[in-house]
Amino acid sequence: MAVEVLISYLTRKRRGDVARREERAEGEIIRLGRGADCQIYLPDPRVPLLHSEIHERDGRLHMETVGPSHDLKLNGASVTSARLDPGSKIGLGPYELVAGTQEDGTVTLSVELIRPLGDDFADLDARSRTRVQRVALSKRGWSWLMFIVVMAVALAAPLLASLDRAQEKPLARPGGEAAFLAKQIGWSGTADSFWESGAMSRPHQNFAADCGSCHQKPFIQVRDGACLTCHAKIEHHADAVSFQSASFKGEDCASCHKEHTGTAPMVMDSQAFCVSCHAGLSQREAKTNLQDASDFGTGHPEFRPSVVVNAMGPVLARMEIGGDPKPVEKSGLKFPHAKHLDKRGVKHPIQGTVRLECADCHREEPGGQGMLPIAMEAHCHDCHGLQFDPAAPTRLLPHGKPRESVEQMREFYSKSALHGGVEDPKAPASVRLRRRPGIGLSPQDSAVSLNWALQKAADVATETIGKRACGTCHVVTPPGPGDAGIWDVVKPRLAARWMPKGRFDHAQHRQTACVECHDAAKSKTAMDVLLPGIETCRDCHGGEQAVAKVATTCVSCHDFHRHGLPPLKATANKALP
Amino acid sequence: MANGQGGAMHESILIYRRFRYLKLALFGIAVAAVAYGFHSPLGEPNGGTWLGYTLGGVSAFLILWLMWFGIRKRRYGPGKVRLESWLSAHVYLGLALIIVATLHTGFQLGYNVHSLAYVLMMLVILSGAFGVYAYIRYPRAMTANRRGDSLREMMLQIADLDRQCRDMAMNLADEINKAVFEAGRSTRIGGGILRQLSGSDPACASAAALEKVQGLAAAAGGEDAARCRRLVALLSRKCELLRRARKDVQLQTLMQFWLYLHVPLSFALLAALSAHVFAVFYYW
Repeated sequence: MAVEVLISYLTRKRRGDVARREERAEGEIIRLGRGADCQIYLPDPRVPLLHSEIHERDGRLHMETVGPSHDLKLNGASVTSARLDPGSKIGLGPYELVAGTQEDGTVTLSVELIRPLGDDFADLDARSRTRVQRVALSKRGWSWLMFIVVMAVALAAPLLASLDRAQEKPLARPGGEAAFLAKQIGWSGTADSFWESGAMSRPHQNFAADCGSCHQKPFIQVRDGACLTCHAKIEHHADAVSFQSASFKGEDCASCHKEHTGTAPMVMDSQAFCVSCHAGLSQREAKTNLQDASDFGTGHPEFRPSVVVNAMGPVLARMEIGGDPKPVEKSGLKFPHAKHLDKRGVKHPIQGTVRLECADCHREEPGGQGMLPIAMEAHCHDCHGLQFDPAAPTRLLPHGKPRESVEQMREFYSKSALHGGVEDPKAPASVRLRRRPGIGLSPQDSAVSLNWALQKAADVATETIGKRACGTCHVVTPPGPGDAGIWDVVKPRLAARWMPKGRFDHAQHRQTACVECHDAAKSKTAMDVLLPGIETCRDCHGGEQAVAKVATTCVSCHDFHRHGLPPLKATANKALP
Repeated sequence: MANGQGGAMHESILIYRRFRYLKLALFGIAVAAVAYGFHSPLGEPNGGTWLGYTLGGVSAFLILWLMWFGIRKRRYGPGKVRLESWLSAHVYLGLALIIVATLHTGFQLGYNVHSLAYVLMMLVILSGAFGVYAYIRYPRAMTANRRGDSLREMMLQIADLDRQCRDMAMNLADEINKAVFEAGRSTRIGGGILRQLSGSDPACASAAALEKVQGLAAAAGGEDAARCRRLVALLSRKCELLRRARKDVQLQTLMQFWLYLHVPLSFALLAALSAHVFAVFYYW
């Protein structure tokens, strides 16, 4: 059965007119599609080559899709088969087909492209964004955003934190309203740490949470008062009355001590600062007895220890190591280091021959910086005992007490004379005779015996105090007329520190043997000042800019704030109210 | 050479008046460096010494003056000083800031507002330096890439090729037709900022269609085979045009995009600089 359809192709003109081209299609089936062999030719890329076919079934025409997914709509509903009833609107891709009938019963089908393809260029242009300006970026918008964000983070937040903290302190600052606002919105914190220009020194880190501890008023430099809260007693550098150039008037603590430059303590170790005065100090200050110094390695005077020049005085004088006259310590002691450090050893009353080391007598003080003082009882007494009579080896003279020593000897020999039985061929008979207990001496014998005892005591004192016991180590003077037989032993005076203005830490030099600096093995007298000269130090230490040596600046050995001087800042008058 | 003129114009900013501003900048750097070399403050050198304050003041003034260029360049018409002169000075004195501001820091940097200002300043200078590079380098590359066509002309040609491809595919298999149609309908040039900067489109529908048609053409026979070959030729031309168009967009964007960093970063710097100066004197 042949199918016959009258097809009208409609084309809408721009002005709204409709052009109509009519064709008659017939055959067993009528094909619709983009293919050239289709009776109903739909030339649009959105339409398949063969979209659907029209059959006759039960006397009616049906349009059925060929492919399973071909787009076919009947009155708006997706279908795979549509009956061509009059008035049916069939959607086929971008085409709309409307069915109808002629008077003779022939089925008509109007075909119209209702969704034509757009303008290729306009579409491409609409899809493409080819300019930065068309991207959602705006210089002005981003500028504002970044400006505001940075202002908020870098300025507003730290300032609010600062004002908030200030509010809790008696030191009220301007901007109270802002601080109040900060409190209201619950701002608390240390956002102003974002303003910190560098790490704080370790000793000050407990102030890090509150900038206001030191920065007491906004826009005013840190004043000495903030420092003196803790450091009120910090000493002066020199006698500011005698030495005008060392007055440091007008200088603040912060002139030298720069905070926020790292965790190291804020000690200024700049050699240039010291040298700016000390290189030409003798020119600058007529009264000084300091010598000029510019660099430890190349411009530092030889050491001039303060030595005792008169033990009776005592009078200290600075004498140069290796100078002429060479420094001698007239301490009143006699002590030959060479003899005690003899490699063959020294005689010990119990242990026989013993080899002594430095450390047998010289012990580090706690902390190790200096050495503990030598004590006779601890270091000398084992060998240099203070016995005075061989018959009583346990009886000892009291050390450091010549009067008591003489009296002790008088009492000892008087008692011996009264007891009798003294085995001394030179003693009178009454003293030698062993008496029975309870038998007294006649008055004549008493006088003779006591006389002997006093003479004996005086003789033994000459032997012990004058030579063997005291005289070995000390300068002794025999009693003159009117001294009542009491010997004078010069009390030793040793300089507590030979170089009181320098700092030397023995503990830091433990790896070095004592004799590398202290030439004790050749010293035959206690007057020798066993200090090394500066060249010994320079074996290892150079100046600030030293190459291949330990760089050593002024403050490595010397303190700026000198112990024992009055405070540098007399009062805390610069403290803020 | 057609591209000579564009390049010469931009280079003239650098050689303006026989490198007058380069010389000025180098002189400024030399003065700052010599002063820094001879300066021996108590403690470490930093922004808080007299030289530190001086270099910081000079740097801050320079930053404000350099930003003033953004206002000056909007004023059309002749001023007392020619715009080329301003730009030449802007470039060289901006670069001089790298040294002057670094000496101001005394090489002390940390996680704080002061170093924030420094880092932002460096980013601004870096973006500006890229801008100078772009103005020297890209106009020439753009001219070479365009071969006399504007981007609009290239896009018109692409649109025309789309139509030709569609017509050619009309009588070919649905699969080919669909690929060609999709390629025409969804190919685009540029896009977001990253797509523009990349100068390519890895998901280009036209490239996909070309590949597909090439594959299917092998199986076609007779008249279809000839059509397929012509379609492949058309699609190849389209892809080549697309490549050039995208390259053009890339170069255009590179020429302009740095300014989208340079200007906002400048304002971030202005804020950080204000905070830096305020903080320094607030906690003096």
